Amino acid sequence: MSTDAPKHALGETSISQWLFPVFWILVGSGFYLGATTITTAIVQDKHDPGPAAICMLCAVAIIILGITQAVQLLLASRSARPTLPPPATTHSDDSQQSRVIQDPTLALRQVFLGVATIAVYILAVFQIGFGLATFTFGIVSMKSLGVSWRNTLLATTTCIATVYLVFIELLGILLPTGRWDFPF
Amino acid sequence: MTFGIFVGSTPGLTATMAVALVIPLSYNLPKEAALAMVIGVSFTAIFAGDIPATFLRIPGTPASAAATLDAHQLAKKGKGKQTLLINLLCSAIGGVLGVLILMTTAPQLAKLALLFSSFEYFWLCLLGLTLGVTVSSGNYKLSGTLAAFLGVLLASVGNDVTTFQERYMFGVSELSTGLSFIPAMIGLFGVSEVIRAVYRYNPRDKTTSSLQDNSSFEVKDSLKIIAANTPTIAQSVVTGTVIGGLPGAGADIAAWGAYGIAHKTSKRAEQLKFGQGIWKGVIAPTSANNAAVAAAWIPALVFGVPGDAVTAIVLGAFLTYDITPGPELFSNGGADFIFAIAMITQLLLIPAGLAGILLFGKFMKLPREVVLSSVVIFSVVGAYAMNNNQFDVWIMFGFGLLGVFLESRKVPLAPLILGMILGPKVEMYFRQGMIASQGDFSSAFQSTIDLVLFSSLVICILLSIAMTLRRSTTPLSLLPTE
Repeated sequence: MSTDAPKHALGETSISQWLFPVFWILVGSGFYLGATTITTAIVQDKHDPGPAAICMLCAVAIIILGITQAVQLLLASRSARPTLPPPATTHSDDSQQSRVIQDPTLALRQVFLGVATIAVYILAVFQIGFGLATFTFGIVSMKSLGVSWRNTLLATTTCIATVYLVFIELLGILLPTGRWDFPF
Repeated sequence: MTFGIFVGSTPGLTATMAVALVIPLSYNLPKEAALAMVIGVSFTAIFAGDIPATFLRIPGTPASAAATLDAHQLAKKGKGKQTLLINLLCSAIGGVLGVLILMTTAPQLAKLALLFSSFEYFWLCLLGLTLGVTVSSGNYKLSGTLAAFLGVLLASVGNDVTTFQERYMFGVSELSTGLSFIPAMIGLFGVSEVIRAVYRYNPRDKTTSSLQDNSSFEVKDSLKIIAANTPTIAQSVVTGTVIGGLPGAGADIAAWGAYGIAHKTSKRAEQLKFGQGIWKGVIAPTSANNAAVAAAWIPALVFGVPGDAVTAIVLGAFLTYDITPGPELFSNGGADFIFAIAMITQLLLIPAGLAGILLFGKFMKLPREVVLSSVVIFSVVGAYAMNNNQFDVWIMFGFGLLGVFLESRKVPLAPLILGMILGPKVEMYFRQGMIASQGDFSSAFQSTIDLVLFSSLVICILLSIAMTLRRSTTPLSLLPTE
């Protein structure tokens, strides 16, 4: 963790913690507004609550719970009581701690690059075909994560070969060939 | 089963992901072969998570997390292979007993299901959704409840089944059939895990935690240890079956529950050894998790209510296999095939598991970065293969981002999945009930089954609130922390 990371006094909350209650209130409001545009069908039974009922109910519930979270956060920010540590998650990778501390800014940049790479890969699959896009993605992703050339080429070709054998040959599923109709 | 061993033993890939990835492969197979593939993968992936948990202290699946502490300590003492053999045998025993319970109780429950009408199913699905939120959310019940509601709303996208009115489509015709469930699951579990791993990736961290293990299986000694811990196995199987049968609970919660109960019921001297490398610490969770996998099929087969995330995904695929859960499944013999496959899987688990221990230990030596890139590739292919639809791949991507965001805020994903599966059912049965009763909601409280289910729902909610209030010492404990 960066030494510049802000340290919070007991009871103080960071701005990012407000992000979550606001997120839920916005989500609930958005779904509620969307539910108001759902029209009543002509064939709808008069005793049928309609397609909008559950949507509005859930949206209102989300808004209320989001406000509840915000109120709790506000109360906590005024409280001097110590916070409880979060419970241990059962997710497999949360048990693995890097011994070398990672800069959060660098980590976030990695995430943005990773997400962008995946998005470009998906676009490329449908533009230039699965084979070429996957070959390129495999090399770019593994090399950027520090894998050796030998392992990168071996793993990428193994993945493509496995997908070809299983999906195309064995199951007869056609994969995208792109705009220029590459063979694979 | 080989695929299940492969995925389960790879850190970062879960049993749920294994099932989600294998389902597209099963579409072109005969129904029986497809079922056998899916059931085989789900059971073997749960066990296979113990392999890296033992050698690398990295659980291969969340269900293996409970066994990691003691298993790795035992491996450090040079008993790695023996630990895995005991894990394997306990998993098989737990699975066999779990399937036997499934075989004996499911047909009886099927007769009861004939008494269910719309409102009974409504209460049952609502109870399932509530239980899933309360059991799986731990200290974050508020977040879990929010996730469940979000899941219900996401499942409502598309044309309404009853009236065909558009909901949240915004003119996008590809959304007419709603958000495809399998790509959503692949995104939530596969792509989100990759993105999280990229966040944690540190190029300067060259440390490895692999353990060179040259021990042998010590078969005779292992069998003696298992015999000596029979009460623990029995207790853990019951725990796993009870928890696994609760919609939304899953094998990971069952494993931790069994670990905790084994700890509490042990002698004082043994309790101090938990976490230091004690056989009970390995036997209890591994017996429970496979029993839980079997038990999760009870509500799934009888009522169509998934017991865990794996059965939730499989129920979604049942439509493709032309299988309808419910009493008819038992009267036409369809369930017998499922029981047979599940039992055979437990028996085949032993040779498959041994092969996995020997062979896929080598795979763990591959760089994690290779695994991450491979997951992305197979996720894209898996999402596309379902409907040969580009939009499904983007749904997978979107849910991947959603999964990352929610998990960063410690929001459990199980309630979200349950909301997506059970939300449409809750709505459908409620609307059917209201139409059948001509708008009289009091009809939902008329039969004994209605009252029992409603009372269970109220008790569940009240107990959950009471436990949360008692446990929390500050309001911030209900909020995700940095």
